Amino acid sequence: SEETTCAFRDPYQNDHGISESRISQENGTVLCMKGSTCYGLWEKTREGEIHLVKQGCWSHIGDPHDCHSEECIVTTTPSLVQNGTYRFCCCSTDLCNVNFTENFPPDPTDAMPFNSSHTFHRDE
Amino acid sequence: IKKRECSLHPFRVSFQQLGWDHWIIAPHSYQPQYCKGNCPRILHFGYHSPNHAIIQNFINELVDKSVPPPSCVPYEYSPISILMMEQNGTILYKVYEDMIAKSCTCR
Amino acid sequence: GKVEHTSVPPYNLSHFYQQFLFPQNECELQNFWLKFSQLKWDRWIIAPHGYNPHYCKGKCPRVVGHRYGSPVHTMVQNIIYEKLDSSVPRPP
Repeated sequence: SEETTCAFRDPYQNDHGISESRISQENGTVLCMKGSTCYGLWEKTREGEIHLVKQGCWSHIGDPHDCHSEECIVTTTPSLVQNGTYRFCCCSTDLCNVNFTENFPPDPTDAMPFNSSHTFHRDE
Repeated sequence: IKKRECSLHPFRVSFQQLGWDHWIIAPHSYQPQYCKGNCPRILHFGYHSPNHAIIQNFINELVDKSVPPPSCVPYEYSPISILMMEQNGTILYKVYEDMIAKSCTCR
Repeated sequence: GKVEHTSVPPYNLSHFYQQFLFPQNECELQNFWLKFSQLKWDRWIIAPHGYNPHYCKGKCPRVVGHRYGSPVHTMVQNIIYEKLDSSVPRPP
C-alpha cells in the first residue's frame, strides 16, 4: 500500500514516533509510513461544540476491520474517558481525517437527550 | 495442522470488557487472538520450537511424567496504536507492543 | 497450675512464613538432570553424558507483572479467561 498523507495536529506530544522530515507544520499534514492510516480525535461538549484535539498517523491497527473506510466515521460508542465527550475515527485515504461524521449506536444510559429538563448554564 | 493441534484462534475484546476504558480513549476494541491446542509428539519445523522444547517433550514421554509437556503459546506478537489519557489529563498517542498474538509455538 | 495453650504455635516458623513469601506451586524454574542414555542418545552423543535443561513448572499468577516479564497479551488473555470466556485458555 502507498504512503498516506494525513492531517496532523499534535500540540503537546513530541514523541509521536514520526520523524520531523515527514511533518509539514505550515500545511498541518504528515506523510505516514507505508501501511499506516489516518486518525482524528475531537472533543464534543454537551452543548455540541466541537474542538479538535489530535490528528495524525494510525500506524498499528488492532482490528483488521478497522480504519479501511475512505471517510472518518465515528462508529463506536465513545470511551468513558472524560464522560464520553471524545470522538475518535480512523480512515485510509489522503487527508480523510480533516473532519468526521458520527454513526454509532446511542449509549443506552443516555436515554434523555442533552437538552432535557436539566439545561447547562454558563455559570454552573 | 490437525483441528485440535496448537493453533491461532480469533478473539475480539473491547477495552470496556477489560476495564481499561477509563484511560484508553481509542480504539474501542481490538483482536488479541490466542493460542490453543495440543502440542504434537513430534514438534515439526513449522512450530519454531526451540531444542529445549523438543528435549522437554522427550523427557515427559520417556523419562518423567511430572515434567510438563511443552505448552501452546504465542510465538510472535504485533503492537497496536492507542490514544490514552494520562493522569495529568494529557492525551498521548502510543504504540503498545506485544498486544496481538500473530503465530503460535510449542515450548 | 497447668498452662493452657489456646493455639498450637506453628511447628516450624520458617515453613509457616514461607507460604506468605512465595505462594505455593507458582511458576518457577526447576532443575532436572538428564542422562542422554535415558533418551538412548548415548549412541551418537559421545560427550557429555547428560546435562541440566531446567524447565518451568507451576501456575501463572493472576497478575503476571514484572517478575515474569510477560507481554501485555498475557495479561489480556488472563482477564479474558477469568472474566469473559473460560474456553480461552489461561496463559500456560
